[in-house]
Amino acid sequence: MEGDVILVIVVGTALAFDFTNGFHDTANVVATSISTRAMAPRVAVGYAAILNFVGAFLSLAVAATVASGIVEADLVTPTVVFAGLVGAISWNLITWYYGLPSSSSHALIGGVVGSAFVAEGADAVLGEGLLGKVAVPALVAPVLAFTTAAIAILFAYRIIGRQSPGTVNRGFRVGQIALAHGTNDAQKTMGVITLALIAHGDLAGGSDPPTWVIVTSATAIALGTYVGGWRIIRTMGSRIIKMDTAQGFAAQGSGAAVILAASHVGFPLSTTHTISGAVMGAGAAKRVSAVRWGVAGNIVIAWVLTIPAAAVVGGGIYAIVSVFGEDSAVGPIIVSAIGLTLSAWAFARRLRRGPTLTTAEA
Amino acid sequence: MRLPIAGEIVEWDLILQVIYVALGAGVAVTIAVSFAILGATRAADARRDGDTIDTVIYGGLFLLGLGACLAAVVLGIVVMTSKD
Repeated sequence: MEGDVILVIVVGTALAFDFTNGFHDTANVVATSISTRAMAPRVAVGYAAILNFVGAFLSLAVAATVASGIVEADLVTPTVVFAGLVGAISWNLITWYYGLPSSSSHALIGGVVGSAFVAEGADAVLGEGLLGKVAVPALVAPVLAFTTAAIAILFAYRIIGRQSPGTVNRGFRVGQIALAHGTNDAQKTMGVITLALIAHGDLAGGSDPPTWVIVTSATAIALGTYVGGWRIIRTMGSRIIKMDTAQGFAAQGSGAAVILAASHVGFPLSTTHTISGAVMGAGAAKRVSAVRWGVAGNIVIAWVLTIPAAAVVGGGIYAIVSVFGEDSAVGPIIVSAIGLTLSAWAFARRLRRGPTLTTAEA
Repeated sequence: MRLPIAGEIVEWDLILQVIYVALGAGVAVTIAVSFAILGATRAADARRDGDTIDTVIYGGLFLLGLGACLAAVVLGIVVMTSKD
């Protein structure tokens, strides 16, 4: 009975994480399109929500259990996963509150690493995995996207030269709509829920996610995307640089190329790091001072803090939950109730203070 | 001492592959769209001036750029859907 309750809580928490992943990372897909007026804000997030929903069905590889190879899989229990998810959700909400784009995957990895560390000690964490699968890609993604977007925008300015701005803007706007894409971030949640089901004995090891897991994960990320993390969209779309249509296209095209190239060879890159780096590159190539380096610096600090901060929260939550016993449902119930109350309060407060983005504001 | 260890942990060949594919594709798509826009603008100007040869040349440039961009989009969709 206790195990069933914990399973239900883990599934609910995973879907909550999926929802925060959706609204937190909406900016990766729509920020350039909205800020260059290629699409109206609501149309853009609606489009992104549909594409993210579809993206959840494109590839069902449960390799998206992002912590695999980073923590000892045998030592991961549903309670460890629960604490890790709470750590990830907490960091997603904090960075959303301050309008900072940060990686939801890194937040999940950090949360699980922290809770596994507190649960089983340092042996539970695989340092090589952290270096090879997290640290190096975190350096490669923004630098590569920055460079690609910078070279691309220089070619674009050279080619379009002094053509009529009206035609040029229309052309790059249409180009951005053509390059609009979704993500398949819902895979992470599918992987987490599937692992919990396997651990609970409802599925055989190595099973694919059941249909209900795929549909609920796709729905949660699509709903989150449609709600839209407007603060982060504003940061990425207009606070890092004041973007023209060519820069928007170069950033989006370069970001998509980096993500697809990495995805094709199975190299894990953060979409957030990639698109943010591309936006900075498209701005810096035009004029270094065009980039608001203070904003860019805050974003980089958030990237660096993501794993440690989520790990501290994940570890702390595990310590609290385990007071009631590793297999007890009391701890997760109490933490979930407190988390839901705090999240509802933060949402209500932010929604009251922050109106949704209009095209004119972008 | 540290380099061989890093070499074993980090998949440098994959990183190199990502770097050259991403650089090539990202820059190529932007160039293709830029040429499509240039072709469309110049073709419209040439048609207005009654210059048939330039209209055909720049119209061809527009189609070439557009075709390259569409091919990149299709390739992207194929890569996404074939990922396992």
